[in-house]
Amino acid sequence: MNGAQTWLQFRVGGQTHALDAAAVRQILRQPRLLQPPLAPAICPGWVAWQGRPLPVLDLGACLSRRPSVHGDARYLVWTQAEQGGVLAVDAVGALLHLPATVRTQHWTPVAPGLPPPWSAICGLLHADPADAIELPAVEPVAVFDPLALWQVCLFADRRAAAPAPDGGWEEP
Amino acid sequence: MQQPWRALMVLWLAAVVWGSALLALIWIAPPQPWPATVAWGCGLALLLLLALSLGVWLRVESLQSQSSSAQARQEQAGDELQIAALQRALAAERGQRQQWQQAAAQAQQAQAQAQQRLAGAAHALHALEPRLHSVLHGLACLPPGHGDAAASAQSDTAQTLSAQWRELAADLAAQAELVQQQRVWGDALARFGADQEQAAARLQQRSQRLAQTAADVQLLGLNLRLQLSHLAQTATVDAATLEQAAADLDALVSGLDTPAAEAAEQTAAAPPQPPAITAAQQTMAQALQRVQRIDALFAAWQAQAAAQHARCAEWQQQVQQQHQALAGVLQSLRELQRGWPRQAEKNS
Repeated sequence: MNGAQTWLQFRVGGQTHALDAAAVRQILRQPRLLQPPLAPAICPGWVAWQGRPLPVLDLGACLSRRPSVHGDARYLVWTQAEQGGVLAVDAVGALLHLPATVRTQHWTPVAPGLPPPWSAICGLLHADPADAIELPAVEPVAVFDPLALWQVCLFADRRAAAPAPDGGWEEP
Repeated sequence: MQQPWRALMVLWLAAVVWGSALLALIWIAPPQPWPATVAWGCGLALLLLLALSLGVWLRVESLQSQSSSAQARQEQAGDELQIAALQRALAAERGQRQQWQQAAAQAQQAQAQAQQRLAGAAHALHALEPRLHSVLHGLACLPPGHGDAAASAQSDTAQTLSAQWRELAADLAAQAELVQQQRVWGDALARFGADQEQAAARLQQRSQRLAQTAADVQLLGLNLRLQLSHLAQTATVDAATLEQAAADLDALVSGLDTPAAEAAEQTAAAPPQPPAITAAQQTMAQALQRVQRIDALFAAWQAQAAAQHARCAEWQQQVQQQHQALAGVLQSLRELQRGWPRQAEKNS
């Protein structure tokens, strides 16, 4: 409405990352997970959400860290460009709200060319935007594009991993 | 991380090869025109500059990684502090429970000893009772004419023994009451320990439910906050109202982290106290001293009763001897009375 943008923080393997809040539809805790036999660790099963079966992506396993599907995990339901899925993460943090007037100071787009799955990172937030207006940046937060993450993690073995789409994230 | 380091090494090797080739060319070949030498030097400087910039970039990335790991360690330390506080509270509760169990065992042991001593005292009292009654009966049946002093001594002894008997009976009744109180106290202590275990289990269940509820409400608040951010993207919503609702929601969600920690601190700070163990043990010690004093009094009364019984037997023997002597005197007097008329007739 006023050009501001909001991100949802989450933690995987002890590191803080973020997703665009506009793509996240709901945060679930311990949903009923349909686990087919011989399911890969990256995609352990399916979740029924509003009448739609959505595959679950274990982001911890995807990033070669501790698996995120455990008792205290959180499941982020996202939809983008007529596609949707569920991301399993270790924990969910607060929302980051960055006004349009200061976005350019704290947002850095990532150039394509990183190896998968890091190629799904579309940009870096320099710090907690709520504090960054007054405090210097202490830790950058990698912002993932969920659709690109889906492609590089689930379809990497099929050699179908495409580079991060440019339309999902616009440079602030 | 391996590929940037590999690129840095390749750049360094290229710079070394380039510089070595330049030196060898100057040493072997005839002097070259200066543009070629400048081109060689510029290439070497460019390679060194690239390698230096790549090294600086790797250093910056390493520092960022270290900063991230330091924050993760701080959060982990906070979690470990909470876990340590809960473990300390649990250990204190277990220690308190062991103290109660030890106190209950000691109280039961002291109660058993008191019951044993009371049973021994009652047995000794029952054994003494017939002998005491026989002594009192013998004193009451002392034949008359034994003198006023002897009668007075009989009465005093009988009254003393009766008074001591009543006192002993009252002491035994008091001891029985004390033992009964001790048994009631032991039962109450056992019930208290069981109640404390149940209360600790209920407290733990309530803490778990509270933490679960807080997590649910926090997740609900975060979902609502997410929906508010979606609403903010539409043009028909008042931005000020949305921001106020978001601020209220953030305040509500941020206040949900404290109840579990406060419950743990209260458990560690104020453990429940059992009944007064020390006062009860002192009461039991006093009761044992009274039982011992009654034992000594029994022994003294037994000796006194035996002496009274011996004196009574001696008095009876003396009375019999006096009766015999009196009977002999009476017999002599009757013989004198019978022989007195015949002696008078002879004299006349």
